[in-house]
Amino acid sequence: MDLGVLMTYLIFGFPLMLTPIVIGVGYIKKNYSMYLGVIAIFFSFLFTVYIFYNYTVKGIIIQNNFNWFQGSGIYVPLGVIADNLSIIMSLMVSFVGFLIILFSVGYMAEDPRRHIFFGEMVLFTASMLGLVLSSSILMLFIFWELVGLCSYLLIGFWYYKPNAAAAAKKAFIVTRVGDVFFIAGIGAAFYYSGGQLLISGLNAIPYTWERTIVSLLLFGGAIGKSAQFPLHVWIPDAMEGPTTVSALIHAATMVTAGVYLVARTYSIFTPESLSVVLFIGVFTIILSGLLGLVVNDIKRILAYSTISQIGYMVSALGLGLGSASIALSIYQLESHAFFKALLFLSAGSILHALLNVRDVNKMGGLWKKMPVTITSMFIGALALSGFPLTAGYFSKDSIVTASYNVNLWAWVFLTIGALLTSLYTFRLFFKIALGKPRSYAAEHAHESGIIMLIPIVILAFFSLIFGVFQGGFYSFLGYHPESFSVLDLAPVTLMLIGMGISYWLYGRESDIPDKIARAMGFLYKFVKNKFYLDVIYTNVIAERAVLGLSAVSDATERRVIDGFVNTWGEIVRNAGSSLRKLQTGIARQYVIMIISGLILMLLFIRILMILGVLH
Amino acid sequence: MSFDLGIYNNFWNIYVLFIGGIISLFISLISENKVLNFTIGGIFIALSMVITLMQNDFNYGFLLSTAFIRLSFVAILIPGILLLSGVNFSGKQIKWGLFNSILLISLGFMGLALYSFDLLFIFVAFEGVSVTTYILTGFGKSDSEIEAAVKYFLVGAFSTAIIVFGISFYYMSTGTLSLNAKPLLSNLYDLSLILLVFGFGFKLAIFPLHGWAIDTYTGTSNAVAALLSASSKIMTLIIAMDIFYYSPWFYNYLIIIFAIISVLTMTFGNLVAIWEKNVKRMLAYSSVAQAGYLSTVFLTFGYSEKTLLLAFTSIFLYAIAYVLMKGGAFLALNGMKDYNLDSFSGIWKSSPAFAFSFSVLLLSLAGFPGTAGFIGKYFLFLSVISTGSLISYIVITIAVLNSVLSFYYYGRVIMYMFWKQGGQEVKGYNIALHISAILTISIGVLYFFIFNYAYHSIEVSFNSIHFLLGG
Repeated sequence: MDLGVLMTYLIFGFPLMLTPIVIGVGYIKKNYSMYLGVIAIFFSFLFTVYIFYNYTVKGIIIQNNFNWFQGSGIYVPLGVIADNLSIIMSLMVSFVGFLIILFSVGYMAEDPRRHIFFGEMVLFTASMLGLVLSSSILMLFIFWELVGLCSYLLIGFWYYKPNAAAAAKKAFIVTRVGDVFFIAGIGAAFYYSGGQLLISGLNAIPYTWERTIVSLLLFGGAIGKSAQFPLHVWIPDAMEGPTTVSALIHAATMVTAGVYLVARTYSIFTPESLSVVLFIGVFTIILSGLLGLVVNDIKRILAYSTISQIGYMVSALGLGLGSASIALSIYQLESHAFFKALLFLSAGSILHALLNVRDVNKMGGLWKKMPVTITSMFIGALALSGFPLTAGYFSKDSIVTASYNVNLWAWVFLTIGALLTSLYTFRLFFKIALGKPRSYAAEHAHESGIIMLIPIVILAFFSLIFGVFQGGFYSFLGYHPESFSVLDLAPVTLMLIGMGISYWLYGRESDIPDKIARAMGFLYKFVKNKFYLDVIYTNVIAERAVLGLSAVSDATERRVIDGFVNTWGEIVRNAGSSLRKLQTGIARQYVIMIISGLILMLLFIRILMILGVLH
Repeated sequence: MSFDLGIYNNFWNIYVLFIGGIISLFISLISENKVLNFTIGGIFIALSMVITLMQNDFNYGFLLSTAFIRLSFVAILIPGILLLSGVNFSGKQIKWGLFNSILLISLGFMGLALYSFDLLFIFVAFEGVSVTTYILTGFGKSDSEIEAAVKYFLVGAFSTAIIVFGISFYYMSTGTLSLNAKPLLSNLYDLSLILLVFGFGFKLAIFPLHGWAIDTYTGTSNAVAALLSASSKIMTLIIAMDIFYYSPWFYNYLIIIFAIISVLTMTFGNLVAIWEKNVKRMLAYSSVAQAGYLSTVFLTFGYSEKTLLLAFTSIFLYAIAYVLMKGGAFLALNGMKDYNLDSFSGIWKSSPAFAFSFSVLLLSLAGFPGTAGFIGKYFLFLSVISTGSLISYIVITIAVLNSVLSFYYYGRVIMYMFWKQGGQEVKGYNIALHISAILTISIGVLYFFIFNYAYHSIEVSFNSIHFLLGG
């Protein structure tokens, strides 16, 4: 096998193989599994760098497929592809994953089950890398499910907290709704394309309407994983897991999987399905931006901001600009990965110092207590809201500007989204950093250890300067944008206005926010209750419709199927109990059995010969 | 080096086993140290494996080497290595050097039997295996082992008589002892081959000849049970395939006979295993059931070359899977004080690694996807189905139903280990068990490497056999 191909397999294979060892070593000494976990992901990063070097310098696109069901006459391909899209993704996933897992070494240092935590983190990153590098949609699906499994395990890592257990279950079930669409999409693609399971083979789907169906079904899967409306409800609850898990889910692994899936299968998206994609993206931005304004949990605010930022990626894809769309979206994905990982890790550092007090109303004045963390967080907040010359500015404003020529309404809403983003971001930041400490824990906060600060500072650095790579990044993905345009000013202006409003409302002592909330009355309550979506899902869909269905299938299962199986079980057991009497333990009897068997066989053959069946 | 042995130059893989046996006999005079003796044994077995894999096809009339035979020989040698790392006896003064020596000689005879293309050769080598395994069965000298050895010997002697009977009829009908001989008296020829089915079926433990197997596997030590149920059974299967493959004038009867026998064997094994509360005895019954699955391969004889190719490859895969899961499962019992199902309850708590590895092997025996056992079974059944005959469909349907049935008793052990309360602990660290569990999973997931290798080498060999045999 070629070295490059081997390396590509090792990018995800190496951490995958190390996972059981990481957990197993923990039974000898828990700290070893932490170090081994960090090493595993670091090696993935090195392998990716090698592939990246191969691609850029030598121009080699690695593709390797093999048949999983060999010898059975069916072609079920598995394999890897390392083109520009998957290389850039796996670079980001392994690098950010490495930083997050390094941060976890400090963050989880006292957890008694940390060896399992690190094993699952390694598995999580490995499955995301596998997802990104898959050349076959089946293999992509396998890793997709592994990602889902790991998110379930990690969100519910503190399973003894009832909230965490419920959140893990919710994340698993809600993304499962999307997965149903994904499976249906794979089936439809297999059927329409005449048995193709390679991603490159999806282009064999002949008709437009068939492509629309397949692409919409695949997008249904992406909605679930990437937490877009209406399946975004799992993400805020998923904040119950350890903060580093949230960082990994939001920045590097889970939620980006859906965007990547759409980008990977972009060639089969028709204008009809793209308009759906655009609508969902824009709608999600506004919806989650509003929600982010009314929550008080530091991690949940960040969660809603993730949903809305993913909304930008999805909208960029929905613009339908071909490779330009992919480049815009993936660039936003990567810069988002940096500043969102930064924000989550800073939040983790804050929570570590504040003994897991998560209400922003109980923080305040932390800038003086934890200068490095909060300064980094400030950089993250600037990048998230798209302050000029930070990473978020380059990635997000390009999307907003690009939308102007495609759809004016989309442009309007995306610009409003910039206002909302800066509002909720700085509401969060000012409440944490400025003012006076509003609780005992906040008064006694102190800076975190060096192992936690290193990843934060690295990420802050990248959040600041990632814009430098914009041109190179776009051309790497085959997009050559025009230079600066006046339109860029609109989101920036709105962003600055939002920042000002936030300072006016939250940066100093004031009772204006409460007054506004009271004045809005009904509307405030509507948003505060998350538009009653959770209520609809739980009370109406789950309890009325699904419970009824499951009652029916439960009865069928118990009465019909169990009855059938048990009857047969009884028959078989009775047969067994009479047959076992043959086994007497007397050697003489065994010989008699052999002889009678031989004679019966000879007789049988003789009878068949007489009957003329054999001759 | 001028060790020119003419045509016998090619058999260094068997010679090293015999040489190793004799060397360890001498070493056993000086030291009975377990580690020393078994290291030497392991080295010789590994050496033999390497030489086997490097061999070429050849045909000397009474000795034939094909890729299938060589690969199967490697599969047969695997339990040898597993066994050396996991052997244990209840008795106090065990002569490890002697055990090692007899084991190596026994494996050497197995190799000789595989390569033979002549019934006399086969008979001699087969008896060599029998005699050495009689000794090994009673090696620990406890009451149960002696009883097991005596039963094995008595029934074995009887089946040897049947083999000799069959061979003499074969000679009368064809005028030669070489395989691939055209019969002159066809009725006598058929009779002789039916006798050979029954004679060789003894070590394969197919239905009416299974009686000794249950008692012997249960009574003897775990290591020897692993050897008998893995190596010796696979060897017999390969010999039987060899003999019957080269007797195409018998295919009509062969298919009917083995259809009946395999259905009876697997159904009997599974039905009785359901009732068995003793895990070791349950494994013995499951070994009978597995013999039933394995012997469905005879239904493909006489069909197209592609079918046969797939069937032979799948038998090799099944053999690898089988020696790992059966050998590993028997050796796993080393750590247990007694083999009652109850003493397995709650083992997950005290020794998770044991519970996990043992569950992997049990799932593999049941044919759970993702394990080597599934791969072996899947391809075997696929090849039998691809003959397209009515009888093969019936047999495979029954076989699949039987596999479902077998989940009950394998799953019950897993259930006891993980979900029942109990406090037994497993003694010692069982490296053989863990190695076989890891290999079972890796082969189960990444089977295509080994499948490709086996398929292509057997394909090449198939073509060259036709050349060698001039047909």
